[in-house]
Amino acid sequence: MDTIHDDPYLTKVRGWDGRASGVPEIGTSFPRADAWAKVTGTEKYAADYYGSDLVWAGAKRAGVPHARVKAIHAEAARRMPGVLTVLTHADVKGTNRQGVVRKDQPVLVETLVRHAGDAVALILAEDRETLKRALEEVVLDLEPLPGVFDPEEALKPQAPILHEDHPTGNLLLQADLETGEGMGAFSACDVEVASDFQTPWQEHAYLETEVGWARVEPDRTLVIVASTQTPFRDRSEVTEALGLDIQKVRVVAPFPGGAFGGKDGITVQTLLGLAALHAGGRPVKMVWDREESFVAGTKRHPARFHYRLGATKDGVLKALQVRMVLDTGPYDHLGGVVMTLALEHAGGPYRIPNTSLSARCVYTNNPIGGAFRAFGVAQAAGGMEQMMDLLARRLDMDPVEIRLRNVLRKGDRTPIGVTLQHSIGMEECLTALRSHPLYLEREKWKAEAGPFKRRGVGAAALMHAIGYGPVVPDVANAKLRLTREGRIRVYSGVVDMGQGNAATCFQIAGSILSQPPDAFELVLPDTERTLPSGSAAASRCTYTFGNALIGACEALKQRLLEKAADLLMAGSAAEMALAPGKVHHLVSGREIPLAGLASFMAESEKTITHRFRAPTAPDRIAVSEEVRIHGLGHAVFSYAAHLACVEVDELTGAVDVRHYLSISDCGRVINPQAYEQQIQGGVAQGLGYALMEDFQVRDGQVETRDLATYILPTAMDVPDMDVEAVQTHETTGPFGLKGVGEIGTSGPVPAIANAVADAVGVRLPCWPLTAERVLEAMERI
Amino acid sequence: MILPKFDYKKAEDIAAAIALYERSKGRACYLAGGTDLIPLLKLRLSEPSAMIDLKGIPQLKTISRKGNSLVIGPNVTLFELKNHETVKDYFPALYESLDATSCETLQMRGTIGGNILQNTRCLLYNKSLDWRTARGFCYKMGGETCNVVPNAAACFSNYCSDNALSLLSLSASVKLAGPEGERKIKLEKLFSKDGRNPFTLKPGEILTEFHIPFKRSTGAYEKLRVRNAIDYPLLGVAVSMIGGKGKVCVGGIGPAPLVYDLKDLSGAGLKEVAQQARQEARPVSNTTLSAGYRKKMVNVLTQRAIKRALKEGK
Repeated sequence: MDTIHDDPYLTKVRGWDGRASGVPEIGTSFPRADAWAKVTGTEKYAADYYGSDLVWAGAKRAGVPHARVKAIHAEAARRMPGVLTVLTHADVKGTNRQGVVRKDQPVLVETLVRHAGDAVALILAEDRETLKRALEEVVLDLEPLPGVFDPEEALKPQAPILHEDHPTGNLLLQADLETGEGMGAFSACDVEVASDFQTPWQEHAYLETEVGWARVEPDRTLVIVASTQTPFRDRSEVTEALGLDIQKVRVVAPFPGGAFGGKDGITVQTLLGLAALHAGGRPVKMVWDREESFVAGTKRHPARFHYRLGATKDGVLKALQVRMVLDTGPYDHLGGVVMTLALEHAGGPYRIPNTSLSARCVYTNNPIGGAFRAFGVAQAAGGMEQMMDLLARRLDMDPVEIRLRNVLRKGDRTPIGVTLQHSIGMEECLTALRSHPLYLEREKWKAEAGPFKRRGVGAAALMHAIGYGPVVPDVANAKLRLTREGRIRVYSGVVDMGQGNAATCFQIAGSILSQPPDAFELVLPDTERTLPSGSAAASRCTYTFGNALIGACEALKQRLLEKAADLLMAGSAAEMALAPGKVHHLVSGREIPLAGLASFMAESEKTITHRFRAPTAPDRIAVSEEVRIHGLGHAVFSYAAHLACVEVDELTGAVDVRHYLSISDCGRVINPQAYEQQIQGGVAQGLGYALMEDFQVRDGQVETRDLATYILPTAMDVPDMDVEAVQTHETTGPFGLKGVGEIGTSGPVPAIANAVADAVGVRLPCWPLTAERVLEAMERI
Repeated sequence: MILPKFDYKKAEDIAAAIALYERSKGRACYLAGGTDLIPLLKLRLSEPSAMIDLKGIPQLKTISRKGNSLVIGPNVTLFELKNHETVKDYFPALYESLDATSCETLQMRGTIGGNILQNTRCLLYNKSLDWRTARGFCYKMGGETCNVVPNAAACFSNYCSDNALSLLSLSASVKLAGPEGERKIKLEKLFSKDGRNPFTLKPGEILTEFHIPFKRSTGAYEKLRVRNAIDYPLLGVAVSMIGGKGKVCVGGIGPAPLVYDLKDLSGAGLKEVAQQARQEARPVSNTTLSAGYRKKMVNVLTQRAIKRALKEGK
């Protein structure tokens, strides 16, 4: 039965509501199906769920970075009028543990506070004001413990240990890898350059902070509507942490109002689930305000790098040493996975036959490090691409030329030793950059700088892995259904957090099934309705789910043609063709509308599913099994070349990015408009990381807790960008596509840093490149 | 964040507004655009019993010529003022400071009166109640200490109006009306120089008019900020010149602007003013930029503003 019509939690998107028409073609710009509802304010986000008799839930946060819990005094809060209850870890019936890889984070703290944002108690109240006052009334009796706030200090023997049960103490994960002759190759190099880099935290700062809504239904099902990238994984985590039956937990994922990795994993879900279990069937809502989001949410991992790069006198790379330390804060979250991806990309898109790579991810009492668009690669590329410019300068070579001399081509091995069998447009990206007017006319442009201004141009070459890598299956399952009205309903298993993959489903399905957007409905991810398709992450959404969707569309097409051929007594399905709203018999000219066809089909015939699993790298990388399960060794990569043209104020040190060029190989472009938006958004986020976003933490306390002190770029700070595409054809991708979600983010740090060095001759060992830092460095030389 | 509870009253005219204030026993505050006030309420930095909305008073929304002055009502929005026919021609420093205020969306909401009467700001003051409670209250919150400079005897919060600097450079004055009647003072006299309570307004007083001498000036406004929109000035310098003489105003550092006369237009003269401003500006670590950098920039931006004002006069 088609019960979808009376499901209150279902989020359904109609194809453009008649605002665009025609059968969409692959490779042409199409307005996004979600755009109209979002800009007119009618889209229902998780933040928009209320319902009558609503209960507000909020977490009492520890406020101190490391402490033993002696007592939780909640009596006064419990007695307050309007407070339903105050819950602690004792009320959690499951494991009370959450975490994507290692389950090391308590839902509610038991005995040990490990960072200032730890949730210690959960309050349910009738309204937000009462909740706020009740949170102030809960008194935590804490015995402060010495904290550790520096990842290298955390590895010393005397450092306080965060997790007594972790066999390697504060060392969450370590990976060591050598290829070729490793360090031995440096002795044969003509030149070498070395440098250290230290990278900051970065805050996701989404418009919609962490938010959700939950209720226990009359049939005892716990329904959680959350702003999340990972509804299926969330369901497992909630089930385990709270001790529930997985069949009685449903997670619904509307469009998040921004996520960028910060909602890859549990934020409000377990707390909301726990609250709903104690709310007597009333709906419960939890919203983290901006300050709570800054304190308790995850951040881009800060990292420290030591780089050493050796080459011949002709600029041919021979040896690379990288040592990196990542600060994951008190919990793994995705720290180990971020670290392995940073390690995989530490050598950039180059042929380097001898490498010695080592990475450590460390527990501290700082904020939690987690997933963030460009996932470790933004940190590593910021280091490696500055090394390439240092080397070019040392050899007095053109920075683009030296990159071209070393770029990876098909069949080469990456710096970790993966043999590249898939499409590679790295060389084409750099060649296109070299012939772009911004590059060709750079000296003239630089010479035109006004008084007290100096101009510089900097390039970066990038690669970014698509999907999960080995071990964790990178799988998507598409489901289609022909409705009784003759529409086609697409059940999407992967979240669209704003990047546009939901709308791309219409384009893919529309082009295969020859239907205009109005013929489709899209059901957003929901553990009850759609099929598990992995996280909205890893530049994989359209790549993996798109492939599954193509399979499902082709199967549905075949079924519709066969069914129509039978009904119209045609010779075979080959005589039939799909047209908007109908199936056409090419020989007789007779037609049958899709609604008519639906009425002749059994329920079981109207639904099609198709599974796709992404390919993995053929090589087994010589790392421990523990590291391998974190996904080391990818098969498919996107590539890009970026160019930043900056103007530096000699007297203030301010860096103004005047032009920005991005040329990417993300395979075939399905929707040029969506492609450009993805690159622009990624570059803007990278630009903030490069120039101004300075997340300050002192002794485990977040100092920048609002958008007045954590400075994000505005539209006035982002230059016009030239966004171009080198369209290779990736044979494993849907219509030849590769992922585009993250690669734009990694370029701005090195491209801008290289441009600043070109302009004023200084290179900083850290970023953001604030005016103050640049001026100070200029004054030192 | 949630607003605290308060009564909302809308005044029809100035006398009615003052009467409403008097009835509140001093616990009400006046509301114009609200862009400064509402965030303060949300952070519980201000908890008035009532808000008296001045937006419905027509008299406060006009711009007119009276004698040798341009008279500006305080409820004229920053955006309206920026686009007024005379401003760009006659008062370029004011035009530039208005244009540099926040972003156009907020310029359409914020008023010139509210912009001038905005409260002083500090990295450790404009914070949530939870944060401030954890740190302990400073002078400006009614405490006994400064959280930025330990053992300091005064409050170092920063006055962050862009437009006060340009209005000061144009020798503006203001008219005030309150329970004790009307008075007109030079804009300089509006500042108490005490960060805890930065204005010399008496309880219940309303700013009713700005007066700018109507003479064509040349001028410039330089603003130190991290990004090209939204930010408050981390330092602002306004310069206006009329007939070979000028005024230089430096603000965004400390509770009141610094004002200098510019008489010697030689290179050495300019440097001297810039140097003096640099010496007298006392930034502390209470913004997102360091005190040392801001102090250094006083010199740079002052010279830059003067040079631009002179160049544009040619």
